[in-house]
Amino acid sequence: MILQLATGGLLLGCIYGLVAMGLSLIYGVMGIVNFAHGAFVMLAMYASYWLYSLAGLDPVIGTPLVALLMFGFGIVVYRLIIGKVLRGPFLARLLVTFGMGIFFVNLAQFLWTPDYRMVQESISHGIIMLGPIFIELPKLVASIGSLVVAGLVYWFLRKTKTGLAIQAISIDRTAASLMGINLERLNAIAFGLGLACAGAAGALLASFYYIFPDVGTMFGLVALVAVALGGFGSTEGALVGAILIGIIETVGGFLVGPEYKYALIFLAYLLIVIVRPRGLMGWGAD
Amino acid sequence: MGGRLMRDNRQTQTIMLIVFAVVGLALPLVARARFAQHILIMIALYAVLGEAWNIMAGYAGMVSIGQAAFFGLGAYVSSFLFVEYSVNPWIGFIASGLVTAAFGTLVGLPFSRLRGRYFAIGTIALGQMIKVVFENWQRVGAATGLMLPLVGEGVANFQFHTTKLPYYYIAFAMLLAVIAFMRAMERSRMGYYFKAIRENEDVASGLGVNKTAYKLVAIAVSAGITGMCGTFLAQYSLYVEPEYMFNHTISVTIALIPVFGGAGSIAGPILGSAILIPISELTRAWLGSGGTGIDLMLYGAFIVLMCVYEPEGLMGMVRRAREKAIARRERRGSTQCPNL
Repeated sequence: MILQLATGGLLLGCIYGLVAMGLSLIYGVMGIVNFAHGAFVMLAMYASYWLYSLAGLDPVIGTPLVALLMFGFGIVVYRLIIGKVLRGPFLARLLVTFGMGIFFVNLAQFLWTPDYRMVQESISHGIIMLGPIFIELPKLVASIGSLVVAGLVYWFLRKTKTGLAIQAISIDRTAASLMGINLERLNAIAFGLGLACAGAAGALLASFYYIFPDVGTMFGLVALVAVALGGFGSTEGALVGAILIGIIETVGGFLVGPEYKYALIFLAYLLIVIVRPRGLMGWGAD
Repeated sequence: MGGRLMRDNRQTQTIMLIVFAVVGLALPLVARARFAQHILIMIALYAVLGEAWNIMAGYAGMVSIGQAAFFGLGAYVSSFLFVEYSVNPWIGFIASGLVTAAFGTLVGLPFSRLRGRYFAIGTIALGQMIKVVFENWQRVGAATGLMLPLVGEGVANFQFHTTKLPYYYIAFAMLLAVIAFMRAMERSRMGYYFKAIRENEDVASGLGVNKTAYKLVAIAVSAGITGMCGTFLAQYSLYVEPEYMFNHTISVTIALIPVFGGAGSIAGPILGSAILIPISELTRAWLGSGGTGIDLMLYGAFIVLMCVYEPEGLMGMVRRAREKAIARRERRGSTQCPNL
């Protein structure tokens, strides 16, 4: 039973991990805590839903397209908003994404009403048995998809020139800029990439999850907790934190009661951060 | 010279405060419509909440996005005492201030180790957790909450059914009390310690400021005031439920108002509340509250625009205008006596 739950938690954790990775990337490069990240996951889920219901594109197959759309959207948001507050005071940098989150969630509510929607008949459905463990196929597909995208992003950051430049910025912004790295351009790319992660996760989630305006809020909060758990600035930490959270959510939710599952996640965050004020693998400024 | 300037400044402040008090007291006599008075009450209430947040975040540098935890707790303390033990709401009002302050100190102890965004996220976590606890706590009505029984209206019972006016005056009195407290705090050693912790807590602690103690004081005071505001809203709406009292939007609004007005100043939250609350209430009334979300949409857009174009808040605009005026005056002065 516990094994069954832990597997479920692991699968969930992988999806959380992709969301958290985008969050961590954005934070690492430009020091912005993206409180709107959940809202972007939600927008991606709607994009996926509309692509499905208007163009008949399956959410899983449409994932690259949605990720690409969100990448472009991220560049636009960076140019219009984020880039302009980067040199502003701490409070402005902290709250601007809050404002964006509120805006997009309520925009979705305004445009598409608070009704729950769902993608019927996604290509990934059904259950497979792995020894004694049931695995829901859509969740498996989504978590594998998440790992693939996370791997791609990781490869991009480690192996390409642009990726290395992005990493250089998150290590030392001034030095990177002195070496001739164009901060503005790469910040925009990093923000776009962060949103692409949220977008891919949203598209994969859309194949089996209910879609409503507030759906992303919890994903965003959980990803935030995952990033903080792992330590701001550590991409691997974010993935570890997310998987940990997925397991806490399912196993803890079973042991204590499902209504307490999010309370447990937050409790875990508080306990870990109080012992290690910079998270499990964190470094850098507060 | 500097002394005179400060004295002048304080005098202007006192005059402004008196004007503010007179206008504030007279306003509901002019705006007699029930809805207008409702807006005034909300402005005063959120100004107090914004000031309480300001003590913690604007002065002592601990940004909280979970004030609803204190707000809801305060609302529940007095309501529970009233519903279960018929304790007079005024005693409940004091009790909720004390209980939330004690609760703030208790959670503040571990929280004072956290810095910057870890603290902020911690407060979000706190706000979400306490809501879940109250949603599942049968003794306090779980998700349905508590209905406050109607008793005879009057100041003694903290209930008014025929008119909203007394509610407004109570809220406004709370606002004046908080302003008086903050003016005293700004001049006191405590106020300077708070600012020192905000600017750089390591240096402050190196210079002999007991940072944990002062952080706890800031959290306790802020929590206590916020809890009492919770009691006020409970008496105003005569019911409490988790979704209403512990709503995350309350936490966000409480943080936004001072930021919008200008954090770290006394006037900031009042200005912020006086502009943001009517916008939110009026859009909700005009465009329908049927969950269209357009009121909050405007709200979000406002915050973004503010952060991008006026990151110092409205008070930043005021300060710039004043600096410009002083510069102009000095320029004029220097042409008159070029030797000085």
